[in-house]
Amino acid sequence: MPDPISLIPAWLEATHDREVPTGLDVDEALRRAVLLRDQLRAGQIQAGEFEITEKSIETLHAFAALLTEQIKIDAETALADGRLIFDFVEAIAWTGTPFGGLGEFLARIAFLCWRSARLAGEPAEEQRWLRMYESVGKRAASLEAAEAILATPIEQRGDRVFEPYLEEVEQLFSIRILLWRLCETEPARVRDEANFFYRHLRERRSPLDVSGEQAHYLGEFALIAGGTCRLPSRREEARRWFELAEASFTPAHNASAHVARLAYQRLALALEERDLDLVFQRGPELSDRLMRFGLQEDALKCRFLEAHALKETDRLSDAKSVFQEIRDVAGAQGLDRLCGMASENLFQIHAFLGEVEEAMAEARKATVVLRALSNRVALAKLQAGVGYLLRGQGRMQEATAAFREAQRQFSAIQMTADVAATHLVLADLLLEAGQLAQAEWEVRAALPVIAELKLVPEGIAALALLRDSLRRRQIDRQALRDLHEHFGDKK
Amino acid sequence: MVLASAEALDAFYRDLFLPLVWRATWRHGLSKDDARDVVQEAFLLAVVKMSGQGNPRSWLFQVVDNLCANHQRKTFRRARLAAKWGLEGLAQLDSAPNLEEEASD
Repeated sequence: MPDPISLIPAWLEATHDREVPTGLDVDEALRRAVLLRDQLRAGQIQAGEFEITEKSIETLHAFAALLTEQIKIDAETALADGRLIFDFVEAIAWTGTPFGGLGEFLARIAFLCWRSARLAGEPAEEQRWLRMYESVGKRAASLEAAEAILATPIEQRGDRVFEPYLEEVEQLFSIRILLWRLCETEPARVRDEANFFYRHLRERRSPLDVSGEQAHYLGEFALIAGGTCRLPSRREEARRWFELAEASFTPAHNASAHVARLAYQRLALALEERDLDLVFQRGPELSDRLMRFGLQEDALKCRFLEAHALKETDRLSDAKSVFQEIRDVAGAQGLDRLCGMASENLFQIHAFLGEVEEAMAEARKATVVLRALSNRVALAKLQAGVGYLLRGQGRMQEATAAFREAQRQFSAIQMTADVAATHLVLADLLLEAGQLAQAEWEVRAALPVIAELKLVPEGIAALALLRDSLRRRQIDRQALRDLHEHFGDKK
Repeated sequence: MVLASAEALDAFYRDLFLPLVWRATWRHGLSKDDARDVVQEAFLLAVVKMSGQGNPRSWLFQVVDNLCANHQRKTFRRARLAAKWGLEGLAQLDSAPNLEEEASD
């Protein structure tokens, strides 16, 4: 059978002088959809009784249209109907791609259930249907179209025919999913994209069709933009985005759960700014709050911040316990990303404690998970961690090679602060090896970035001392180490 | 042009044409006749504009979505103008060229 796309000219030739049938009459399809809905509610129909035909599939599409309207009237009933039709259709023997395929339809229903759950104020269900959409909709047209949109450079999105189609909310939903997925692998790109979609939505002349949905998506894109600004240390920008996210989420339906997600991002920012007291004060309460919303993954992420703060304050044994708990719970729940990151941190703690074998075993576990997830940020950090471990073992040449590789990875994802921090570590290693000129070059490469990012208000004295020593061409090693300390990396 | 058997055209109808018509009808609220026109227009655009790059299926879905949105905008604008000016003969507006869109094309 030829590729259907290659048949388009033949199709147009064959149909130019005749009316092609378009399936069921709209009223008839709606009548059948209502009948199916009533049968499902009454438990009077089984999946095995449902034959895949042109008419039956159109009835399912009409059902989805009914559900879309029901959401506007009564989101809870729509969610209940959505669950029924999802389970029913999932059990139908609908293989291959006739009539658009099973995945396409299930993705639509998962999206409508997500929307119903958001309006009905059920954040755990909202999360569940979001994951379901990701799982069943891998090849759904909206996700494919979202990928195509993101593959088009922003400046080339102006053509009328090809401009991103954003009237239909499922498209925005897919874009949001893809952007969250790319946050840690391509933060700079995601920041630009989130900014693009935020502005695009804000400048719309007509609101989205479901109450509060525009505010929700504005909040979501602002949250994504803020989250990605947090990574490469653009903290003021992150704060501004978080304020915009709060202003957008607040009037939207089911705001409290999303405001709690925002609180998590703010707490993560506090951790990056080393405001550890705030993390200890607010972390447990926020984690509890997220659990009460049924947002287990977010609650675990919050515990993650606490574990980080414990690590930063040298309470390594406590940190190890919390990271182990996170790794085990996340592993059991299939939260691979969290599981991998917990392993990465356990590697670091084992390394700090001089538990070399355990550290390398944990690094191997983490690498497998992080590679599978294409988590370039975590992989780069892990690589730097291996550098520290080797340095601690006195294996200086191998450590230098590991740090150079980590620096290459940080640079590829534009994590400029980490690139600068790695320059400082390399300088220290080169001083150790007596390579003064090369060490000086490393320090000179790091200083402009540090000054530009204003990373270390508490390290200004160290920065001044280091600059002064550089002028005298005799690097102050203590100042170098003090300055590096303020990046938050343990040596 | 690829020569197509009746069987291949049937498969095309089932796997591409109908799902696109349903998308236009049930997701975008177009009448069946308008949905058919939009899908055929998308196929015409595909012949002229579709490049070999990217995913052709998602390209078609995207173009159908865009054409449906344009169609709805036109319908909305006609209804707004009719309400504003008390126009009864909306059919005349149906066939009239859309100067705003032509200008921006």
